[in-house]
Amino acid sequence: MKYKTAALDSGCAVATGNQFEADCRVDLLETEVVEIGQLFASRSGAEGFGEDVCPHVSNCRLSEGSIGAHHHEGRSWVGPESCCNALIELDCGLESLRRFGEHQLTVPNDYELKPAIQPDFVLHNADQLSPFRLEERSSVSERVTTELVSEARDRRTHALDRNASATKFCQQARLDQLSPCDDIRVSGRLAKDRLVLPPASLVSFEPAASGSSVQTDETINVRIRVDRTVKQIHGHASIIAAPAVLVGRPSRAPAHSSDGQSRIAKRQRVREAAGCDTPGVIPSAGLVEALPVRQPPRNAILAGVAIGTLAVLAVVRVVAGVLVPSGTLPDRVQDALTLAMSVLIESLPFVVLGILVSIAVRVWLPEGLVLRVLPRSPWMRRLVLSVLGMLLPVCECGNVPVARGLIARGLTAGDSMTFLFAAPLLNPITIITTVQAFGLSDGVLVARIAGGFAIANLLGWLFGRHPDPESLLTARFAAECRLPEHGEHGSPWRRSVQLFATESASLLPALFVGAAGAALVQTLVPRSVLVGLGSDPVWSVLAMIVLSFVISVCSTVDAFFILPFAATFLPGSIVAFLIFGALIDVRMIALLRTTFRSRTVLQVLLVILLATAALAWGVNLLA
Amino acid sequence: MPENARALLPHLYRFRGVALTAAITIATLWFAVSGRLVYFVNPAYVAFTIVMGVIALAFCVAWAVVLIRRERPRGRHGQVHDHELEDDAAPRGVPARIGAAVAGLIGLGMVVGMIVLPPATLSSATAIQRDVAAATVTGGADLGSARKASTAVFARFTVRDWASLLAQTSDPSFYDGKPVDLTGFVSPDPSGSDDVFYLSRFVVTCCAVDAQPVGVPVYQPGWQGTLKANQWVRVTGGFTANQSTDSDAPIALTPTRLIRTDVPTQPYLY
Repeated sequence: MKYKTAALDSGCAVATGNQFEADCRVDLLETEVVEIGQLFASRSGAEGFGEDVCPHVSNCRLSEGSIGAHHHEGRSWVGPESCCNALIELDCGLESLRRFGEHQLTVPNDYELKPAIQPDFVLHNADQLSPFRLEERSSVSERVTTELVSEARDRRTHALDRNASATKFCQQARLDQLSPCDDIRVSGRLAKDRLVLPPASLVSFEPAASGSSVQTDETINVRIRVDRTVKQIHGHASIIAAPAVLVGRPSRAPAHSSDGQSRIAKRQRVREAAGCDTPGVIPSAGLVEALPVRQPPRNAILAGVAIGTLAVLAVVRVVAGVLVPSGTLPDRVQDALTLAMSVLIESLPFVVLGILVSIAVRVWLPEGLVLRVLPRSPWMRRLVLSVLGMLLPVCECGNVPVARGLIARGLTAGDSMTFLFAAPLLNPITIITTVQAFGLSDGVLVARIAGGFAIANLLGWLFGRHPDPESLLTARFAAECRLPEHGEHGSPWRRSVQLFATESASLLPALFVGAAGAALVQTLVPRSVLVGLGSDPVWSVLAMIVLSFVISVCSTVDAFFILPFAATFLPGSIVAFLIFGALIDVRMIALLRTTFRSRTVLQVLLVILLATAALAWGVNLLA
Repeated sequence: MPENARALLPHLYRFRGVALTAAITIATLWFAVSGRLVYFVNPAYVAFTIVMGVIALAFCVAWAVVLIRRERPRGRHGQVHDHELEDDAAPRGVPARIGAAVAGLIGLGMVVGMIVLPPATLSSATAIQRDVAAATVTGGADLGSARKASTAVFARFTVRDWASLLAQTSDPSFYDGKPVDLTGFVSPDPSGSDDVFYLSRFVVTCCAVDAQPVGVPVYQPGWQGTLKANQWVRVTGGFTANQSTDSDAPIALTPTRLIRTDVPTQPYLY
C-alpha cells in the first residue's frame, strides 16, 4: 500500500510576471511513498487534460530536488508509476494564468487497472487527509472551498476520464447518504466568507459530524480549492490542492460508517493536538518557467471598438437605406434571408427566456437543491423531469439552455434529455394549441402527449444507462460543468451577467446556423414534393417527419401549421409531424450540438425517428 | 503591436455571444420601431419579442460594464477576480476552427444582411414554392354562412376568405353580384398563364417560417406588361367564370379597378 500526501503550494512568484514558481511542499508521514506528479500546462477549456499543452509554457520543468523527475516534451513527472497526483495547470496565454494542484485517485493507464480505493479506507486514513497547509501569503486573498469527488467502481461514471470526476459527485445516487458537497466543511481559521487572510493560512478538513455514511465501492477525494487574485498578471490564478491521495487496496475490512466517522473525528483531534500543523515538510520545489504572457488588449479599448462598430453600422444602415433599393436580391435569396431572420427573431425571445431560467437554476437556486428535490428513483425522477416542462411554457429551443443549467447543476445527461424532450410536448401552450387545432377527437392530442412523454422517458432511460454519461457531452461543455470555480465567486448579479455571456456565446452561433439551415432547406425543397407523398400510410409518415424536421416550427404553434394538411394526411402522419418536429429539427440539431457530441445527437435523432415512426404507423394501423 | 493584434482575435471571439445577441436585439427593436417586425413574426408575439429583446440588451450592456469596470484595480492587492470573464477559450483543432469560422461567417452574413438590406416580406417565389394555387385554406370564410351574408360583409372579405370560398364552390352563380375588394401581392400563375395571376397573401400563425400562401386568381390578360411579380395591388371587381384558356382555375376575379399600393402595415394575414 502506498499513499501520497501532497500539499501543493502555490508560491507567489507569479507576481514577477514571466516566471512561475511552483513550490511544492509535501507533507509526509514516515511510511509514505511520495510521488510528485506531473507538471504541465494546459489551457482552460481544453479538450482534455494535457491534450492541449499551452504553447506558451512549453518549457515547464520540474526543478531538481524533486524525486526522480522525468522530463519529456515539456512535461515532467515523477515516479515510475507516476500517479498524476499533483497536477499543476498553467493556464496561460491570453486569458488567465491559472494553476492548480490536484490529486487524482486513479493512475495512468487505469483503463484496465482500476485501483480499488475504498471510501472506508479513506475514512480510516482520514487523519492523513489533514491538515492541509497553506503557506503564508503576503498579497493575495484566497477563497477556499471544498468539494467531494467520487467515482463509482461500477464504472458508471467517468471510468475513462481521469479528469472527469470533479463536480459530478452530487448525482451519484449511491452516495446520497453522504450529503455531498455540504457535509465536508473547511474548518480552521476561515472567515465566514471563506476568505483566508494572510497569515492565517492553516486549513484542515473534517467530515461534518452528520449522519454521513459511505458506500463501500465509491472513491472519494477531498479537495481544497484556493482561488486567488494575483498581482500584475491580468487574469486570475486558481489553485486546487487536495491534501491527500490514497492509492491502493484497503488493508482493513470495511468498517461501519458511523464508526469511521467518530474515528476520523478522534484522529483529527489527536492530530491537531499533536501539532500536525507543522508536519514534516519536504520542500521539493518545482520551478516552472513560462514564456512571457501577453497582456490582453484593454477592455475599454474593445468596448470603444464595439461602440464604434455600432456607430459605423448605424451609418451603413442609413446609407444603405438610401442606396440599396428593395428587391436587390433575387426573390429566393431574399426569402431565405427573411425566413432565417424570422426564425431568429422568433426564437431569440425563447432562448433568452431559457437562459434566464438557466441563470436562475445555476446562480440563484441553492447549490444541490435541484438534485435534493428530485426523487431518488430513476424512473420517478424522470417522471418528475418530464412534467417539469409544464411549468416552463417555452418551446424547444428555450429548453436547451435550461437543460444546460440542469446538467451544470449535476443532473446526468440522460435525465436532462428527459426534460429537454418532454418539455416541448407537455408544456401547456403546446397542449392548448393542439386542442384548438385538432380538438379531442382523432386521438391526435393523446397520441402527441403520450408519445412525446414515452419517447422522452425512453431517451432518458437509454442514455441513463450509458457507462460514461459525461462522454455524451461536448468536451467544452463537460469542462465547463467540471470547473467548480464557475459561478462560485463574484456577486450573484455579476455571475448572472457572466453566465448570460457564456450561454449566449454557446447558443447564439448555433441559433444562427440553425436558422440559416432551416431557411435554406425550406427555400430549396419544394413543399409539393413532400405533400405529394400524400395518403400512403407508410410514406406519408416519413414525409411528415421530413417536413417537420425541415420547417423547424416551434412546438407551441406547429399544430396550426399542420392543420391545413390534416385532410390530405392520415392521422398517424399528423402525429408523426407533431411529435418529431417538436422534439428535433434543423434548428434544434444546431442547438443540441452546443451541449452534446455529434454522435450523441445522431443517436438521439435515430431513436426519436424510430420511435416516432413506429408510433405513427401504429396510429395509422388503428385509424 | 503585432502581438496585440494577434491577441485581439481570440479576445474578440469571446464577444461573439453578446455581439450576436446585441445585433439581433438591436435589429429587432429597430424593426419594431419602424413597424417592420410584423414582416417576421405574428403581431401577437411582438410585445413578448420586444420585452425579451430589451432584457437581452440590458444583459449585453451589463456585461460591457462589467468588462470595463474590472480593469480598474481594486485596493492595493491588484485586480478583482476576472478570469470568470475569460475562461471561454477560443476553439482549438481544425474541425472546431472550421466550425467556428462557418458559424462566424453565417452570423456575420446574416447580421450584415439585416443591416444593409431593407427588410422584406416573403415574395411570390415562396408563394409558388409553397403552392399558392393548390394550398388548402384554413380559417377562411365558411360557405354556409357566406350564403346568408350581406354585401357589406363581402366587402370586408380578405384573400383568405375568398380563397376558402373558391375551394368550397366553383359555382359562378354564387359569386354573382358579390363585391370584391382585395389587397395582395402579384404572384404568377403556376401554370405560366399570361391571362391570370394570383393575388396572394401569406397566412402566418407564428412567424414567417410557417407562412401559408393563399391566393385568388385574377383574370387580367397581358398582366405581365403592366405588373411585376411581388407588386402589391388593390383589386376591386367580382368573381366570374374564368375566361382564360390556359389557366386551370374555374373561377377568377375580373377586376373593375386595379391600383398599385405599398406594402400594407400588416402584410400577412393572421
